[in-house]
Amino acid sequence: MIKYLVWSLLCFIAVGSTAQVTVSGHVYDNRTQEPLAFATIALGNQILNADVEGLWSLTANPGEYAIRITHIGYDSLVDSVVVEFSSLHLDVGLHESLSVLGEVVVAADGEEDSEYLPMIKAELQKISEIQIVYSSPNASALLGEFPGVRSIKTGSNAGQPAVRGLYGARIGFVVDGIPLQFQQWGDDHGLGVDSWQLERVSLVKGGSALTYGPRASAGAITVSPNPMLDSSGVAANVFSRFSSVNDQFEYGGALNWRFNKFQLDVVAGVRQNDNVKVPAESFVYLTRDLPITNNELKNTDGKSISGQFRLRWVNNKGGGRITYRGYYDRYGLFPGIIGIPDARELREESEPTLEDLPSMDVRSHSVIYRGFRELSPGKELVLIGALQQVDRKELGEPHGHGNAPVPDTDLALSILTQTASSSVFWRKRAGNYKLNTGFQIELSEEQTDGYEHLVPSSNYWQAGAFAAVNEYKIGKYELSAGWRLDASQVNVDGFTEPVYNDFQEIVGSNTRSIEVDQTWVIWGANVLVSRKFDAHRDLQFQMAKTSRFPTAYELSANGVHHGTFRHEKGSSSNKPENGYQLDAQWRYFGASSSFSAAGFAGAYQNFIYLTPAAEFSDLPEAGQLYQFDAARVFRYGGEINYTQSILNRHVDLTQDLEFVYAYRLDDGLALPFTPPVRSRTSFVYHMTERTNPNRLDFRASATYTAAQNQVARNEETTSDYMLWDMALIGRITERITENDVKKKKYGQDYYIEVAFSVNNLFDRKYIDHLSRYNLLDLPEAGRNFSVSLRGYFN
Amino acid sequence: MKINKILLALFIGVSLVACKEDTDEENPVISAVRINGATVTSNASIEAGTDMTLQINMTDNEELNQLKIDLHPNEDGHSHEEEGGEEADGEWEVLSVINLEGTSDSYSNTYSVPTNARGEWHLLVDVLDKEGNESSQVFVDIDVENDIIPLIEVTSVNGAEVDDEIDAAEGDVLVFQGTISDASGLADAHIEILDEDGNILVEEELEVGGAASFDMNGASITVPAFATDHLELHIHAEDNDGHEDEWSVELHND
Repeated sequence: MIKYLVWSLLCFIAVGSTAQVTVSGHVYDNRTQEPLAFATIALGNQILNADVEGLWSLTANPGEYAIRITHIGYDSLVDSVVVEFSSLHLDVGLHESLSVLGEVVVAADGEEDSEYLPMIKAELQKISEIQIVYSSPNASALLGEFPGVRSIKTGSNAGQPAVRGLYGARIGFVVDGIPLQFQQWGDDHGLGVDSWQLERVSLVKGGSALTYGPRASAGAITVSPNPMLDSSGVAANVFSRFSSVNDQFEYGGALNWRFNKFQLDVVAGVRQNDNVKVPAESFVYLTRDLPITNNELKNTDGKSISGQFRLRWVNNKGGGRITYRGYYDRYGLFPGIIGIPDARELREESEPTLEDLPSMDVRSHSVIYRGFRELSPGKELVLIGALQQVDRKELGEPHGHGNAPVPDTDLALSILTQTASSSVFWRKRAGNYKLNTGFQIELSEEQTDGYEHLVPSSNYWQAGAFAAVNEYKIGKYELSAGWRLDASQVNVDGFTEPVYNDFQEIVGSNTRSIEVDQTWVIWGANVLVSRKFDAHRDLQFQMAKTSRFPTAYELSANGVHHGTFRHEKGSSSNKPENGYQLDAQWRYFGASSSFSAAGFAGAYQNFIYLTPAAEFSDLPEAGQLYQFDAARVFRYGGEINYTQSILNRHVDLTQDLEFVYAYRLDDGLALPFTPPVRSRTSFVYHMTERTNPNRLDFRASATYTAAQNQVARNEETTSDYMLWDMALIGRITERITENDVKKKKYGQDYYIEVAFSVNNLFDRKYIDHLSRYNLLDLPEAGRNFSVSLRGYFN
Repeated sequence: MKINKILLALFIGVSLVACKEDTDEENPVISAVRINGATVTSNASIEAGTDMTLQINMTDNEELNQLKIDLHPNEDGHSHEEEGGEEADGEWEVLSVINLEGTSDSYSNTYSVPTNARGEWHLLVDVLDKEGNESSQVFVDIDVENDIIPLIEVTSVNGAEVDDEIDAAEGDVLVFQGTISDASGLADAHIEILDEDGNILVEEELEVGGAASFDMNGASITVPAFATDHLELHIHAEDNDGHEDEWSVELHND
């Protein structure tokens, strides 16, 4: 890799010579003929990235060169070429990779696309395609469209991704190598980033996410930057969309400006929506019909603003980047989720505004530095440092309970989280293996406020060290293994509330949360064996032991959580959770078809989750108490994917199937919010040739979600439903001609993409089993027409 | 091939251990809720100043554990009907958790309905068994009729229906429409404006003259200076038996 890094640095050295000739090329998927955007090309000492159309060009002196063309998820091409005294054009079709191990792609800025620890990893490369087909109110909903990922929704504006049915404190949302904070109030709040800020996204399933620490014990969704531009210049992206189901307008854009060894990236986006329309005029709560006025869920409007600024640089010994991300989100909460649903509050009396109560207000900021340095050939050091601040507020009409006075603020709950993180990685590449070691530390403080109590203030530190050997070859097999050790100390402040008499005088106190001071040491490990049978088939098998620390919320919460409509209570006796997981994946790639089957099974000790207690809450307006309890749990499931190209590759058919089962070992009871079986059949008709830069594609998909009868105690079952989605996507690409290439203007191109899509085509009324609002029997969004425009200019 | 065999054995093993054991997931049942001897399902009517006897019968297949009774006024807008019921007036709340035993149990208690209660109350009954299985909740709207205290009905102020508050400024004249009534006759009624500390700033007597019903048509009061953003507007009435009632709204100064 160091060799390629050196190439990447040398490519910026001017090699002006009158004898130089142009070498250009086109990199594409060998099966689909789709261009492979940003593929990495190393020719001799030069390294660069292709553009979005898979095109690249450079100049070189005549001679013989080693060439290496790589792209994430594809087998690399390694060969030699002879450059003579005339221009040379190379069309290269890459095969999808059969091995996800050790496929380390080095972009021009030295960015690693995969970590050194063994992973079963799926690239969500097509996030831009999903983004243009599915209108989504947040990043989690967008990620939930991918196989193996679902979105746990808290109403229409908030959600978080679930990987293979696990979510919350078990799933890391890792940006630039740092897990972002989004768990302060348990499982029901958004990620704190917008879909605009998702650049390159990968999904790491199961125990493979060991490298990201205990906060990613069941998987990770990782976000990393797009590669640097291959030379000085400016590239820009713009995107806008209107969605009819909630009158949502989105505007976003990105600007990349490279000047010599530096690059400045700016991303900004705004999203604003009105109330969500649903195909229902009423809903039933405890046998009572309650109105859904004008087919709209009242007070579900929202607005988000996101911004991102990044400075990157490369030099002879490495490179680095520093990134600031800011995110603001304010959205209304459906009034029915606070207290008992009230018919009068549900009537729409005026135009919704962002000032309406109840509402959520989220402001997050993060600064992440990532530096990369070559210590000596084959050895490198990576340093990551991050500061995060997340400020979440729940606002509601002031009210007192019992004899307590009515507060003079609308701040019902707030939690301010400030976190400092740092990681150091030392990596070595040897002949037939790679070695990776690292140390990570994190300090975090949470301060809570508001006239209600849910969780007390707390702080923690975590520190961990790991070591892994990767791609160690034993005969026909390839072995990877990693091990890590983590320690943490959690301190939770107690919380005591005053007790009032009839005259609103304080006559005593009531302890809602006790102080907690716990220190734990945990460990995790995984071993992955990979076997590549031939050019078309491979098999991977992984065993992992994972572990995570209980969160402050799981230890000390004690209050009514409006997001879940119930009284949630932590337990200071909770201990670290341990999981023993097996993963297997078999894949086949043919010339016009591919098939993959992945399965997993895992047994857990101290699996911490909210379970209904056999007692009622002692709080007003709260029903049954839900307590964070630990249980022995078994989970298994899998995903199957089949893709076939027919009619001379004009038509792609894809079939995805995913399923998860999860239950307690002691009594066989299912776990709550287990995703139902989902099957998606997709059809894409390419009306133009795949190689034509001007394209017109028609997409249709039918997603069947099965009934979920595998429910936890007191959890409602949900019925099956079928959703149809369609989209028509046209793209016009303009590229500078060969003459312009000679004028060194190559690469100055643009495309404009227009898409019309409709989601939930038949306006199906359905209840999402993974929505917290299914407790109220509230239907999901109805038919949605959207039109979007995307442009790329280089 | 060995790996294939291992995988096959693994998934067979998974399938075997996936069999669910017997466990109690059956919900307890609230078999009957009676108010004053009559079975109620969603609505009931009682009179202020009387006793209300509540009887609840419950069953479970294995072991009952807790009963929760939550009776609260509809004063904060909670409503269980599509159009919402009459807002409650008066203080009367019951919040009890009662421990239960056996597969069948009953609960009975008598509550005194306050003489000043009027409007809609909500009764929520819920039961848990020893495993945490929860019954279907029973929700009853209780309409409390009151012939004891005066009834103050304000239909409009300055021609507009009154919501939570009235926008007003110093010197504004507030003109009331509505009636005050009481079967035993009205002894006294007046309109008053108070500051946030409860001090009366201005007061207008209404000439009720012992009548059973008084039409407020034309009654008015002038808004005094605002020391803060808000003032309280009260209409107070007392009947010939000494029973009182009060209607209130907030005055907001922009």
